[in-house]
Amino acid sequence: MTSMVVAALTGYVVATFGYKPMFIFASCSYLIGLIVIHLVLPALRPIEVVHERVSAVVD
Amino acid sequence: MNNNYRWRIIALLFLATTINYIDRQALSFVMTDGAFKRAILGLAPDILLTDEHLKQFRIQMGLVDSAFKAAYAIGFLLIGWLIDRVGTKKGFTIGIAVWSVASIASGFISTVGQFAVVRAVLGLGEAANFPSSMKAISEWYPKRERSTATGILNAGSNMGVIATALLVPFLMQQFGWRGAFLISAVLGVLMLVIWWVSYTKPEESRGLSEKEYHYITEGRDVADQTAQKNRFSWLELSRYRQTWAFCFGKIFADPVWFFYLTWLPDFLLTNNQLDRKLDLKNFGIPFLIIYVVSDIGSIFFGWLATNLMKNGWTENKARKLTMLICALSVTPIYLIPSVHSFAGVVALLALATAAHQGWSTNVYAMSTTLFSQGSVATATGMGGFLGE
Repeated sequence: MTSMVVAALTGYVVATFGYKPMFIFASCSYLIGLIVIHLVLPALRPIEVVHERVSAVVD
Repeated sequence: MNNNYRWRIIALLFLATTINYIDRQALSFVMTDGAFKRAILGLAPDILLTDEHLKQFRIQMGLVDSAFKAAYAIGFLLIGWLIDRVGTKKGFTIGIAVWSVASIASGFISTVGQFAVVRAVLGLGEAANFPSSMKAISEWYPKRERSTATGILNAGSNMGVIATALLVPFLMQQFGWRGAFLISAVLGVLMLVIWWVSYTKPEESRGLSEKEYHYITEGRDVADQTAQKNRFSWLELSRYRQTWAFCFGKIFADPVWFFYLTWLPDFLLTNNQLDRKLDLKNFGIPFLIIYVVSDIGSIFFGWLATNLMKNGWTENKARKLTMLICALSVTPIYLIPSVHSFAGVVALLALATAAHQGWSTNVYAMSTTLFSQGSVATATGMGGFLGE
């Protein structure tokens, strides 16, 4: 879904401002992504699903 | 008795993925063609293209590309459902048929509206490729071999990009843009026949030895049952932060990758800063370099994280540091519009795409840690949908 939106915008951006803004976007996207991932999940821990499943069965 | 029959299946899937990419990537070269631009803009063949025309054309290409991706996302959801009902063989057959019909139709379009519809149908059919292939891999490979098989499969997409750069410019010069679309479409039709004739489930395969069959299916039923039991819906998964961490790994990277895939030929051909005047014929070697290096990036950055963990790092630190190195390796790409040296442009692109692949490898590897066996497929499907 994100690529779909970005694809539609790319045509307008390239037509209006040329390729520069697109490469600036490419250049920072991963860094921003990594910061967001780190904020969402400061430590990589597996999801804990067992309890919920078991309790659902018990109910 | 030969016990390596299953590797024919990955060869088949690799070929399908390569052709899938040729059929979608042909446009990135066709869209640099003057005759194609005039057709899309509804102009007579002898009219000179102005800057205003080019601007209009790029806006329309962005929207057409967006229609492809919207339909791809829908197809991605439909194919799982279809395979569950009709099986892998028929499901993927329908997918290849749909995308090949659209490829053939690409050669006959005369307005931008028609082209948008054709590209949407192409996206709908092409979305079948990865879910069908993953399903075929799970049918044909024991668990411990699946990641190798998936790695080979993914290399098929880069192979497709390279093959397109070698093949499509040549076809355009020989037969024009309509001919280039049609000949690419023939590959899809061939693939349809090859798939239909050669794919079977391992149970029904005649070439498979008893011994190899047992090797493939050993422990499969138990694994499948556990997977079934731990199945999650998207809604259930969306409550976990792990799901979002993975999805953001796709959301921030996929649009950049797809931008390269669609726009690089146009960028390189219209860039008048370069020390070398580029011709359509010259794309083979640079694309070969860029996409082979990107495959190496995928292997290298996967190895780097694994190696850090072997040296006592936690997975959290190892993955995030590796991803940071990838993210930093991409940053110099902003310089590219002002670089004069063609070699410099290729080097920056190779570095950025290698780092992208390294990033992706780590994001996928992370998903196998974050999710249980039954939920990992659902999570990667969700990430793929949101990223695409």
